[in-house]
Amino acid sequence: MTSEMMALLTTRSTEIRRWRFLMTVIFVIGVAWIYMSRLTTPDAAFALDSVLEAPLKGFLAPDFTLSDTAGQPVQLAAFKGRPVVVNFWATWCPPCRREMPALEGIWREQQAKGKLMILGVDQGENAAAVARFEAQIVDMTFPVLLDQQNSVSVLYQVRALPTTYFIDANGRIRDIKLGGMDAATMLDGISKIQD
Amino acid sequence: MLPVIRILGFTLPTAPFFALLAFYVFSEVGARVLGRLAPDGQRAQWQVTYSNATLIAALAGLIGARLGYAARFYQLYLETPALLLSLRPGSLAILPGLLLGGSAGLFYLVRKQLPLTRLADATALGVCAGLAVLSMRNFLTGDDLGAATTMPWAWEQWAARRHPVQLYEFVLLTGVFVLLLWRAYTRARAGETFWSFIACYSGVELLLEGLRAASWTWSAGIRGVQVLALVALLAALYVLSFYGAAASGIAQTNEQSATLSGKGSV
Repeated sequence: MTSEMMALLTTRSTEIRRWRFLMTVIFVIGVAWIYMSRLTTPDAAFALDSVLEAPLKGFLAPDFTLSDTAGQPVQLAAFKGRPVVVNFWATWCPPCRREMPALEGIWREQQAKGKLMILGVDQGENAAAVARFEAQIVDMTFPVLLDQQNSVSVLYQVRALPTTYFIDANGRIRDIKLGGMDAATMLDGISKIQD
Repeated sequence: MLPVIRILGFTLPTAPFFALLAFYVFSEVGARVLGRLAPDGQRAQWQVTYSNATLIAALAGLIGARLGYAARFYQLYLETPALLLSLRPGSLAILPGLLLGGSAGLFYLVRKQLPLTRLADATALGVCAGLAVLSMRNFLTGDDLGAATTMPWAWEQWAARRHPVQLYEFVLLTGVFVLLLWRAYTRARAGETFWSFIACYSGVELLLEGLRAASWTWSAGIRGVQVLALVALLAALYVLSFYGAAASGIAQTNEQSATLSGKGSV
């Protein structure tokens, strides 16, 4: 073996030793950081017993009370113990009009099992507008609530219609769907809130 | 939090919009980088081939995502087959889409006989740029919340002042991208950029996962992502050590050649 080859091998082994040293240092620092940053106490917002309400996945759904089309008050908290689908919609919104028959179809299937509640929260309209919609599109047999002042849509930070919140039996939001849904998308959301 | 954004009178859902933007950035960056790394005379061909591959991957990915979703609710789709053609973006399964799309794109590129190492380099840079866009999306939608902190730059979100982890990620990934791009164009060997990206991204996630409010944890609160990131980082550094050794060997050989040439001329 020539002296040049020996020098080359020595340089390469020196380089590899440097890299090994770097790897060792990074291993030690990495393990230390992993230990220091371990999650010993769940963030208060995400704790299972958190009472923080926010219109965000993982948080408790903000409670509200609205009147239905017959003028009877309906409160979200009254349905605790059952999964709830809260659908923000309006009669003039084209994707809302397209998805409503599918939503009604799912409600009729699920109603017999008694394990799901669907609440339609109509935005800025009165009972007469909803009645005209039902005559044109589909007769909705799940509760339709009137958010005439848009106060609940503000509470839920709704910025586009339709927006649908899937809330589990403990009152925690598990999924949020923006835009119109088909039956398969609705079932996907429902699967996340049912046992 | 901005679940939707308004552009030119249109209301667009933030998450899907930024997902599409990230894919576009990934595709465009990857094609341009591959073109720069190509031998003279083949730049345009390599760029076009890469762009075609990402288009094929996107189409195959959409098909895979829809079929994967339909498989979950097969009874519904058997009753209403027309739903398979629905334009609703919600009825797409991500993992099957990624698998089929990635496989289709890779199959196309291999058939075109482009060198895998250079493909990996270009794709790594494209992925880095795309991930930076996605971190901005998380910042706008409020996903990937940071842990509560008393740092002066913490910002108020959901009843606590928190690390803006999404912004940290955006800044770090942008820095990684710029650094790796410079190295790829100047002195990196084939495949080195790919492994450098793996090392850098693993380092970023090892650091930032420790600052997130919620994580997938193992026993004693150890964050699983951090452990996987550390393993990936060490594996990438092990591979890079051979690149480093080869580079130092070449440098020494060049030095010796220059010395011998100098002696000969005297």
